[in-house]
Amino acid sequence: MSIRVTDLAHVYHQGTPLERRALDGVNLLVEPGSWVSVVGHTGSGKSTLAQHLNGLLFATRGEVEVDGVPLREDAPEILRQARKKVGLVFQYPEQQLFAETVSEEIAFAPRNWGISKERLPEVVHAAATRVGLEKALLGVNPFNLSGGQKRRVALASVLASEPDYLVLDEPTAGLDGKGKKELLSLLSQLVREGKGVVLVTHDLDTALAHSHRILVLEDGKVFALGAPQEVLDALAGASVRGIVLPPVVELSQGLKQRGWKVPITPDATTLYALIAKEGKRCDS
Amino acid sequence: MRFLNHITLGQYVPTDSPLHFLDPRCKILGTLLVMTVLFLTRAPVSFLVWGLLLLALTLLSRLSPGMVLRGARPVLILIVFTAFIHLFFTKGTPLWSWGVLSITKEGVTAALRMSSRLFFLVLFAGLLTLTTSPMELADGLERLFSPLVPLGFPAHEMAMMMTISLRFIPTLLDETDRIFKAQLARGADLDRGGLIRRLRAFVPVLIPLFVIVFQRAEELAVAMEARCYRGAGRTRMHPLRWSRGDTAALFMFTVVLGGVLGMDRWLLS
Ligand SMILES: Nc1ncnc2c1ncn2[C@@H]1O[C@H](COP(=O)(O)OP(=O)(O)OP(=O)(O)O)[C@@H](O)[C@H]1O
Ligand SMILES: [Mg+2]
Repeated sequence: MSIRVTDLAHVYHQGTPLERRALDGVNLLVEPGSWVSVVGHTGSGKSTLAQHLNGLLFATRGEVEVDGVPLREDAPEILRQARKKVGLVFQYPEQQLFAETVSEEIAFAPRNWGISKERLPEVVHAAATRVGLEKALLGVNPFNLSGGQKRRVALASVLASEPDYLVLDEPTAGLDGKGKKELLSLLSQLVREGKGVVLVTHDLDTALAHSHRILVLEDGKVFALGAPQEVLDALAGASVRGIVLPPVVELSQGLKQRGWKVPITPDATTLYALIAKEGKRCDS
Repeated sequence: MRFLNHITLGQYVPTDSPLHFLDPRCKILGTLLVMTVLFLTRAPVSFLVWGLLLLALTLLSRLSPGMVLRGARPVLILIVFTAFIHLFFTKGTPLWSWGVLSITKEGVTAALRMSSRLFFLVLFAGLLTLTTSPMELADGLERLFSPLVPLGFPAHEMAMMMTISLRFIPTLLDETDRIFKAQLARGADLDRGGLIRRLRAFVPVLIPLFVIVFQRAEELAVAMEARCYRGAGRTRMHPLRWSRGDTAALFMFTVVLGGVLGMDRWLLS
């Protein structure tokens, strides 16, 4: 039970002058109950990878398996199954809204997957509550909501189909601090419930703080893949296009170079405690 | 989804071929000439010559023949439909008949002729848009129509509208593709069920698309106003230059087309 990506390559517009190799030799494993973050510069292939995970794009080379079943373009039933299992939230999902009411919008996906009429209201309510939409909003036209609320509606509509895995393409872009925090804690909660989460993000800090594993893409190739600390060590020693180390990491790195006994860490609290301890030792 | 990848109509593919370097006016006039002569030719052999001409121009443009051919895909249904109409509704010596339907000898030739004409029309026009950027195309048209401006013809506005539409075709295709995928991810099923069900399945794609189109249009209008756009009378960043090469190319092309027409007439006589 997992999403397994093996040696994946994707070439857009193959055989034309517009040909573009967006992914090359990517391997990845997403297990239930784990959180994988994908980071990389603009155009590094993050969205392309995300769309392979539920059969919206197909490998030029290599393979994507969902729970042991390889995804192929010519197997529509398998694809439907995979798309149900792997929920994908697109970049700016608020642009996909079309229904007349929020509850209709949320009900779109579960209805497509053939959920029973009796369960539908319950599922819609549960999803709306999870993303923090008040009950009063369910009857409102989604086009009248604010950007952040629209985003929540779109997210709820994917959650409502109860996927086993959730792939989110930059879901926090354009959200305010509170919205971002709420979304991330919702994702943590989903991971604890046993869902596999793939978060595509520009924000290394977010990735470091929450993920079990991080995939760093550079020009469609894997620059690093591993636990946050491993990836951090790899990033600290090199310069990767478009990736800026978080300030706390820079600070810990600077201290370490000056001989302080601190690890390279993104966590301000840990670093502060260590500095305080080290500092005292210097005083005495 | 794959099918949107195949639409090349109205999409410019930059390479550095001789065809790309010609003045857009030269190419537009050439295309108009082709269209005229295309509808004057009647002999079946002439259509082989059109094919050769298209092949020659394709080679000259350094585009792959497959890419040029793909331009016909969106109008394939129209071409088949035209052939069908001519095949069954032309009067003449019957070859085969079944009830009210009958195929005549004249019908077969008319069907072949009309569908080939349409086919080549689209491909030659496609060659123009593949080798000429929308910007150049609009500039060229504006200049060609400028003699009509004193008569009240809005040459500039027309060219601007055309540039904008052409410019937004690829963008809107990308948007459609994205929305389409987003709804597929939410389980939309666009190729199952009867016609009504399929049409209804497109609502979730069309509504967001309309919203985006209106948003885009409004943003564009604001952006143009913010930069003090005021219609006709603007100067150009890259003024068009008609070179001696353009004259030579247009002349040679006219001679070739004259030859094709002459040959066609000779074959028919
Ligand atoms: N539909 C498409 N047709 C052609 N090329 C594409 C298409 N989509 C993406 N690309 C190209 O593939 C590469 C990877 O794109 P992708 O969208 O996966 O990047 P990304 O990492 O998601 O970037 P961003 O951070 O800007 O979202 C880019 O160079 C892009 O230009
Ligand atoms: Mg992206």
